[in-house]
Amino acid sequence: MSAASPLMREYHANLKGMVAFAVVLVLVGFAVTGSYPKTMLIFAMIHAIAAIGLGLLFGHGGQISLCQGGLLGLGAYISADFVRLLGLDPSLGLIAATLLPAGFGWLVARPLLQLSSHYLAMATLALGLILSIFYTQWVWLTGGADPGISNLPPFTPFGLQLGSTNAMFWVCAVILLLVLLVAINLIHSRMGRALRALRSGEVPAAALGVDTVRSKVAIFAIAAGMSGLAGGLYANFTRAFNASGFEVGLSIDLLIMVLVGSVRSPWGAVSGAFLITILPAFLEDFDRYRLFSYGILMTIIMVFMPDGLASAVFDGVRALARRRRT
Amino acid sequence: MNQFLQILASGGVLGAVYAITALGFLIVYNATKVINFAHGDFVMMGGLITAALSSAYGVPPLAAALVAVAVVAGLGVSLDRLAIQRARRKEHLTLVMITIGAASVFRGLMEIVVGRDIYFMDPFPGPVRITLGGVQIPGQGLWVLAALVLVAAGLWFVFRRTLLGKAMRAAAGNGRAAQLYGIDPQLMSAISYAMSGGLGALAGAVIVPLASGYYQTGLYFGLKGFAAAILGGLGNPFGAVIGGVLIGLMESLAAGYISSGYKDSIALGVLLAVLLLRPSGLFGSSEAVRV
Repeated sequence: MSAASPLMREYHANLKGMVAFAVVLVLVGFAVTGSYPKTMLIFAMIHAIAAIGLGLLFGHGGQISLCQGGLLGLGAYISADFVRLLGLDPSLGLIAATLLPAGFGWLVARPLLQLSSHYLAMATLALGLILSIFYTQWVWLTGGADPGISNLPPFTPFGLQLGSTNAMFWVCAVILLLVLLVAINLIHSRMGRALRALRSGEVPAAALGVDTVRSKVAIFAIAAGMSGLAGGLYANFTRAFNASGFEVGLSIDLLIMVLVGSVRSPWGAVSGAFLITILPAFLEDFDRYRLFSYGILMTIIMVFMPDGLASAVFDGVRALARRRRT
Repeated sequence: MNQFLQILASGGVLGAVYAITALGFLIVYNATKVINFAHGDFVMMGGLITAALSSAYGVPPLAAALVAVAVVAGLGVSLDRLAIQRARRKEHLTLVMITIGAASVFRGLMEIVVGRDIYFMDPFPGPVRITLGGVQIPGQGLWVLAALVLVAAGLWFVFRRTLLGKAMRAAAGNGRAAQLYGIDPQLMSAISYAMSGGLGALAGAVIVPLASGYYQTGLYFGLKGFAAAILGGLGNPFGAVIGGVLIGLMESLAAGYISSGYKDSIALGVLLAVLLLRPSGLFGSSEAVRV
């Protein structure tokens, strides 16, 4: 493929975008000093990591999943229990929080992904609920619904003191950038193109030599791993959480983050995660209206702009600009 | 032995509620081929509105239930008119996502209008409990069973004996052809959502005196109702009733003999097992569920 092809240009634009995003994160990291705003930013980055995975699965793989919140919980408990029960280094906990949920995703994906859209949605919803039932019942591993896990030691991988809010901001920022890099490279890899072909039709994709089952299973496992990694970061940052944090509502929230941004690009998931996580902090008494307004938002987006809100706005602006030029 | 029969009796009552819920799923699925993820919230709203009206405003239970059924049927129609119909030419996944968004809307609506309180209410009029061969059945359980019989007979009559029912079946079978005969498929879709909303609300209203009304319960009603529908073979009303009763019995047995903490996972496990192993259910035609 020549360097000037549109795909290659898009890839380079994405890499430039990453550099710009890294600069913004550094500036924000130094500019924002308060503990509360920084906490919100950390949560936004954690959500972004999980949302990038879901965006790949939903936007590129065309597969719906309503168990990403449960998988995030899996990562959180694995990460916490590696440190708490096994006494291992938190870095190992974080790695396991990525690999084990990915393995779990790989195992369940093969049977699940044979189902068509609405059955897959139901099945992943059921799976997410089963996970949260186990989180409340397996008290020896999870602490249950109350008190859950508390007093997890601060994040000190290889003995480095990274437990403070400030340090966790940089940890999450670096990991978010790495996840973005993986996502962008994935989209522009052979598998990304296979998935794109798959989304527009499974049979033609298969006819072109795409191993449809393998591609779908792989993307499900990758999305699960990213959710788990987000969960691991969540556990190490909050150091106290319980099973109520990983219910189906979280899965829906992650889905809304992807939809508010764009289903076609990891940047959509990132912007959606920042918007949905940080915006409510500015709205007074929002908690009461949260479910209702997010539901309305999601319904409107799906009825009028199924590619995502930011995507639709972006396309609209571009179309206007083009019209003005001619 | 007595305890076993007692568990069966309460499982049967629960199963009747799941059966009515499953029938509601079925009506919309048969008419539009959409699985309505907000259906469980129809059940939740039916129960919550009935309980809130009755306990907070002193409305007689039956009148409260009627109001709830009417309100939820109206909400069902608005879901169809405002969202589903506007997106009816989009891909299937989009329609599924719309109903997931709608579920959140209904939950949020109840959170705002009714609040986050848990509502309890007195049973419907009638005997408090009857004893049958040493097994006690709450009077409300009779209302639940009566509701199932009424709904099943009513649906059979509507779909087999009336012009409206025949029109709905025709529109579901082949929309284009039905349209040529003067049947308006959009009207049929709206009617199916109204019926489904009304049935869901009825299921919620008859069970709420034995349980409680709370804005977060829709998810479980939805999944169990769907588990019942798919166990019976999605699309088959007879199967849906059997499926509902089976799910209710299994759940009751699990709560009685295993652990009440895991009782909800029974229906979920059945749902996954049926989807993965035998997607046509117990009585379904060999419909191609898999891709």
